[in-house]
Amino acid sequence: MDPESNNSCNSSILESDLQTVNGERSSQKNAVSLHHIANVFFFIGVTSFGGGGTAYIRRIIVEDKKWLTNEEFFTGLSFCQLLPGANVVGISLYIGNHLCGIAGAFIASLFLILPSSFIFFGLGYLYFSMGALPSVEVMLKGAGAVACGLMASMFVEAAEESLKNVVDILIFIITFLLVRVGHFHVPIAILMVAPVALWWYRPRIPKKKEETALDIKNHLEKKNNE
Amino acid sequence: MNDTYLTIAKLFSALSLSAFGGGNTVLPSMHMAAVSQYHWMTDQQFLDLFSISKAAPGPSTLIVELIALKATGFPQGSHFLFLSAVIGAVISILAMFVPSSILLLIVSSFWEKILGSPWQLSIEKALMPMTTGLILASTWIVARTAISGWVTGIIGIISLVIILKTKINPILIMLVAALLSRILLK
Repeated sequence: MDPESNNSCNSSILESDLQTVNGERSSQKNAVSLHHIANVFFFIGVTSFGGGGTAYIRRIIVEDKKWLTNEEFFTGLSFCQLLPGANVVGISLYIGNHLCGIAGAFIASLFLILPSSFIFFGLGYLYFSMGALPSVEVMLKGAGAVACGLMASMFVEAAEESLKNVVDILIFIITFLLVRVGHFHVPIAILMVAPVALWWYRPRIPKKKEETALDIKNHLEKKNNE
Repeated sequence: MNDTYLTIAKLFSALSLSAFGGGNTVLPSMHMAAVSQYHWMTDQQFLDLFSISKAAPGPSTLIVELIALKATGFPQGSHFLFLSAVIGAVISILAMFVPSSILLLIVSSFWEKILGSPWQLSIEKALMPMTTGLILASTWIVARTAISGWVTGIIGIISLVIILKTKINPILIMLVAALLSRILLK
């Protein structure tokens, strides 16, 4: 094995500066190498059953490995929902890119897809040469119910993380209703709500701070005069 | 045969860029192309491939590989063509995943560049509650197919509690649930 490969792929000084600036938002980004990414995404690829793949990835990457914070993960997930393509592949690319740049994204998606593609090839060959499906449907019912629980757990985590005031709850409910009741396509629903949400959370100039600084200055001057 | 490769490449790369909201959204288009348009397989075969893609580990969008395997590896009236099947499978995977991945990488790279800027924080705060709404919507869809009675309902709720309260790997819970449902739902 290559001894250098165990070193992190993000060890530049600039990177660590950025981490301290971000303060509590930083995750264990610096400790992850391409080898780790390959191992974990290989494991995820061959063990994700029954749907809810993104919830399974969050469970492993955010909770077990702590490579990303919940904020970082859910933001990436929203990109996957906005852009076309399979969500599990999209979130793997995002995670890989966040940890190790383009190389990380490539390794994460490759190791997610490649092992499964061999399994798919084998199953497809068996199916078309024999012309029948093995009946595992009853067992899949149980696994599917757990996958549903897994998705629901991701919803609970996302709700705890994101619904912090009345406006958040309104944005959440409107987005849900647009997709669920209005039957809008996901990216269209996002584009409908995003302008209002972005306007609400637009960067504002912290006027108050300047005022308080001035107040203190005035206060001190007054005291000095006295 | 070369025509089939080209058809697969064109078909899936177009679907890759139109799969807004996930791979499932283009399944009807895949179905139409594979069954009615190109006559690669029967209706029943497509449904079976769909079941396989759900049951097998990994991204279920790999159903494109199964479709390509049939189109190139088992053409009508022929025995199994291994090499064509492999080439077809590789083409289908690249066509389905590369275009959308490039798009996502462009956005992700841009995002990493603006990390820490005021607008980045604004976008994050604005997107989070929307994502939560979308997660609830997809949980809803998963629940409608996965929860089909008392047994699956109870398994779903118990697994939710276990996942939230413990650090047990969901795969273990799935194995237990699969065995349980085999015993209880026979």
